[in-house]
Amino acid sequence: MKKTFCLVDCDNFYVSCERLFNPSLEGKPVVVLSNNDGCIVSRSNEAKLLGIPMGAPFFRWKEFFKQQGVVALSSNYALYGDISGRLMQLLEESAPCVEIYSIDEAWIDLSAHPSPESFARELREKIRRWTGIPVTLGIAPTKTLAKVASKIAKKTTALKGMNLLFGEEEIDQALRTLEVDELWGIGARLAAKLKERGISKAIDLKNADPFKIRRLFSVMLERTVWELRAISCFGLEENVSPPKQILSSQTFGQTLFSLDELRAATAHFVKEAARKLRQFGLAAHQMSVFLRHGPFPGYIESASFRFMEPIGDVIGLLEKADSLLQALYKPQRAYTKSGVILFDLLPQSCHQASFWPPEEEKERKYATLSHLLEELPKQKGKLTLRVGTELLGENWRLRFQRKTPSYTSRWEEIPAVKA
Amino acid sequence: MGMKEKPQGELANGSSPTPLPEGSEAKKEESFPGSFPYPGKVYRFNPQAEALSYPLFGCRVAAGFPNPADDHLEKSLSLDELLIKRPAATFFVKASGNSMEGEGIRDGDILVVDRAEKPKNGSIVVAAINGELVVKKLWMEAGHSWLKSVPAEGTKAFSMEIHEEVELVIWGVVTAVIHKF
Repeated sequence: MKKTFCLVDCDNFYVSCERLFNPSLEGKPVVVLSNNDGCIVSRSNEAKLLGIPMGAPFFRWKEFFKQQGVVALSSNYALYGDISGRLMQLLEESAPCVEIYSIDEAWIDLSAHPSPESFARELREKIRRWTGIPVTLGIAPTKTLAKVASKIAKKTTALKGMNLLFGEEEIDQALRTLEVDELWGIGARLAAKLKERGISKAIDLKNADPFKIRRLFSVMLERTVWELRAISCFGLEENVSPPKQILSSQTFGQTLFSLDELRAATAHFVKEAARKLRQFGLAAHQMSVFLRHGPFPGYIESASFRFMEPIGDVIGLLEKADSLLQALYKPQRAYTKSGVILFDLLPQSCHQASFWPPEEEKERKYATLSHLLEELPKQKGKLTLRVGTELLGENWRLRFQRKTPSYTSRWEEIPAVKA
Repeated sequence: MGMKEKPQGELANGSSPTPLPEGSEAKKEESFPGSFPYPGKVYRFNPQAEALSYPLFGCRVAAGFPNPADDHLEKSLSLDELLIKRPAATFFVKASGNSMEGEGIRDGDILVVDRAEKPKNGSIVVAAINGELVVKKLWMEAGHSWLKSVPAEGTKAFSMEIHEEVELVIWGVVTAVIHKF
């Protein structure tokens, strides 16, 4: 059966979120910076036109920004998460099959829809109206081609944010304009290898022998070839599978030397990881703690621990993480990052009974305490109940010097409108 | 936890393994540093506390009886339900100034703004004018649209005609005002 996929791709998502509450940014070059104001992670069209590349380090462009009047903002993840949630909710209500692909991208299956074009046009308008975010829609018989369609639409203003790619001639024409590494799922390294074999444009890959591609590269790449030939190989993945591992880590706001500071940071990451663990109803059999030290990229050292039984409570995890950290720590090292990884994850309900009798009383107390640690701060404010270790230091926290207010998540910070 | 635990080195994120040194278990028993620069109480978590012992084959009994009120359960009232028709399109903003007192919007009030609501003649709207969000009353007549202030009686009102397409300027429609005393 012929398929129709629609990619919903937000335009300059972070910048668009900022503009929603600050209309004075409209028409100006605006960039959003990554954690710690390190790199440029989102650019308005005006900023793109000034030649500011994606991922460029902020400090190198600071002077240029000042001269050109470029507005640079810290990431406001609470805001982007909120707006993304609204958009995805809107999509789920509007279309029967939706796959949320990232914070600013989603797929919709329109195969059964009688008139995908008018549906998409209305949807685009609705998203803009409801959430304030401009999106580009790429519509094609395969996911790979829908990505191509949206890519072309973003480059071509005349298409007005929507591109249907169905005719063979149109598809070929589009593929002639794209480099092979602009295709979905093809990274720089793979592209280099393909170029060695004379495949440099997207059209070359379409015309390559799929069976040879499988032999030389992988089944995945063979599928890409079929997808470019309008034969759908990648379907919609609607059910979010529970994670195989949970990572919580961060580069510190400044270099840390003291054990206590590291303990405070790590305790925070354990809490974050445990929160995700509970969210998916999982328990972890194994945990590892890592530290990075020395000048960038630095050295990473880690230690891990396997629990007798999968564990889901934050207290147990904290206790063990703290001892792993203390074993890893060496004085006089310049630490720049720490993190916690939980793996070998199992549903909380199906863990195997151990040979040793479980310490029911203790488990119950831990569970209650874990629950309180999560719920109390939510209800009564962030600082009502914390783990003692967290109080040992605050210097690890990131600095967001240019962050806009939490417009949608804090009453004290909702936008003011002039009356 | 009273069980035999085996520390082990393991790969994490492709990094080099670091075996846990012997005796690291003992280290965690060090007490917290004496002084805290933070207010509030710190309760020490003591992993060595005596666990109560329980028989291995405990038997669970379901207790209690059904609540007779269950049959008559009704949801409790929710302000969200009353004030928010479309959560995905609804935002909160705060009014600043008194040019809309004639419509019952006072300085500091919280406005519920629905971006999906279609602006009509007479709607109270949030609009973006010259890079600023403002709250005004929409007035439409004979193909023309104006944004008007509605101050308290006896104060001079002003209005501003909208020349471009209305959709471009109107940010959302105010559907409710929350005034706290």
